[in-house]
Amino acid sequence: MYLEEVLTLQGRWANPPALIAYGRFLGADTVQTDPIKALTIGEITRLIKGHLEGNLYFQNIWVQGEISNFKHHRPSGHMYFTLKDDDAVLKCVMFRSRAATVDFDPEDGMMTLARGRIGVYERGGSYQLYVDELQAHGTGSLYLAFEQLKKRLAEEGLFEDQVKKVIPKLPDRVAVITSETGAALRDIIQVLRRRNPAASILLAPVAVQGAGAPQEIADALDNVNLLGDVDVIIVGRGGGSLEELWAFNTEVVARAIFRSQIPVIAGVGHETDFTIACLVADVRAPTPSAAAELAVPDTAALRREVRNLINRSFRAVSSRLEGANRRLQQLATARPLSIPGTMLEQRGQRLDQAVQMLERCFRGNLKDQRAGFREACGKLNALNPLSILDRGYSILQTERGELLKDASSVAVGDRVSARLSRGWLHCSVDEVKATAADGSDKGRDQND
Amino acid sequence: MTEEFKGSFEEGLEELERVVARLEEGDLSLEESLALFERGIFLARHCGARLKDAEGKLEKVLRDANGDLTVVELDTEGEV
Repeated sequence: MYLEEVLTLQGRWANPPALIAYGRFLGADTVQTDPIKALTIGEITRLIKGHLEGNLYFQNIWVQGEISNFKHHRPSGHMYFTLKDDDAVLKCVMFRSRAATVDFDPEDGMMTLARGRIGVYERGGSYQLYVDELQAHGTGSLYLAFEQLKKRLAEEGLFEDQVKKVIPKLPDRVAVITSETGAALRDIIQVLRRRNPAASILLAPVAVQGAGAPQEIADALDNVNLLGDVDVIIVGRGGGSLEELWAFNTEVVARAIFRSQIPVIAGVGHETDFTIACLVADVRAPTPSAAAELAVPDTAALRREVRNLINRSFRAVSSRLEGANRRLQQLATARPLSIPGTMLEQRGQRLDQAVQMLERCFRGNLKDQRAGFREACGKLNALNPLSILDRGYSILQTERGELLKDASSVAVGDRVSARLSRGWLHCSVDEVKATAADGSDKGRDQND
Repeated sequence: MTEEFKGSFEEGLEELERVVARLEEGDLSLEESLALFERGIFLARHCGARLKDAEGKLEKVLRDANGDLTVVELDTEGEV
């Protein structure tokens, strides 16, 4: 009755190598040929169980596989599922106390790592993994493919910031690569029209899901580049399952985006959807509508910006002119110049007119501003007596404040003041060389 | 100043920003600031002209019978 012996041995020896050795001995020497010795199902199952569970190797082991047929049996709290790969499936059970330690929600298709022991469930006639620990390891083969492609393209430098193209500030023509029937297209056109009605839209219709989608999207990207005369490309689609978004995770689309000479904005799915296309694109938008917002500026905002800049330059030039005006007024009231002052007063009046004209320009519309302003500026320039000082001339006056026009009106040793473009010089006369009204040298030299 | 501005919108805007910054520094001669001001007005007009109100076209890329690319114009609603 070797079965009793085996079962006894199993109970007595927890030592698997010994058990395995014993099994080998049984296999070699006790080929069962006698139908009388037929085992019951319970006996053979227990024998198998003993073999499997007696092997320490199976008693604490990590396996990796994709979850399928996941069931969380609510009354009991146990989890039942199978782990699979391309070659095989493994039944798994995770009892409530262990299931409570799983820190994510297992779902079919998820790639997982499971640790546990292999045992035999006699009533089911099956072996299974009694799972003690379960870790997420990506979300199955799609996820793995995603991670692998992402890694490869990243190594090639397709996601680098320095290869990203800049989106032009005011595109004239925007190409949209998406499904002609999708909600995404409607949203994109609406946003583009609202923000910049002047931008032309070039639609390149493609299938965004299904077997042909990746190639269609890639071809459309190439075609738009071929057509040219497009400032920015939007490529995307609305939300969907991982499978539905899959075209945007394919290498053929990633490479077409990378190859595009025209900047590409990707808007795929919702905010939480990250695709390879988003990583390769020059700009990633959370949704198709957001892609449209990034593609064109709000022209109303740009108009405000230009208006603001031009107002600032008016203010800057006005204050510059007011400064010149003040200097002119100071000069006009300064003692030396107040003597022949009537002329300057007249000039001051005309300057006031010029400044008023400038102010009118400032308030008036842009169309009239340039002509009016140029006139004002011309007048002001002609009026400014300091402009001649800027060119290197100076005004000379006596201590009594009289303007000096004739050398003979001073003598050696007199003190005079020179007004320069910036500042004054106080000088004493070393030598006088008078000149006659007709320009001839009078020969009068007081130093003799 | 009837010359055409050859640059893009953003080049125009960037130069305008530089012009205004320079004007606001205030250390220019009167002539310089007036010349710069004229340039600023010119640039603003250029930028304004680019922000036109006209509605852009709505077009669609098609492949014709020979497999060549063509572009056709859709109506304003684009039948979408």
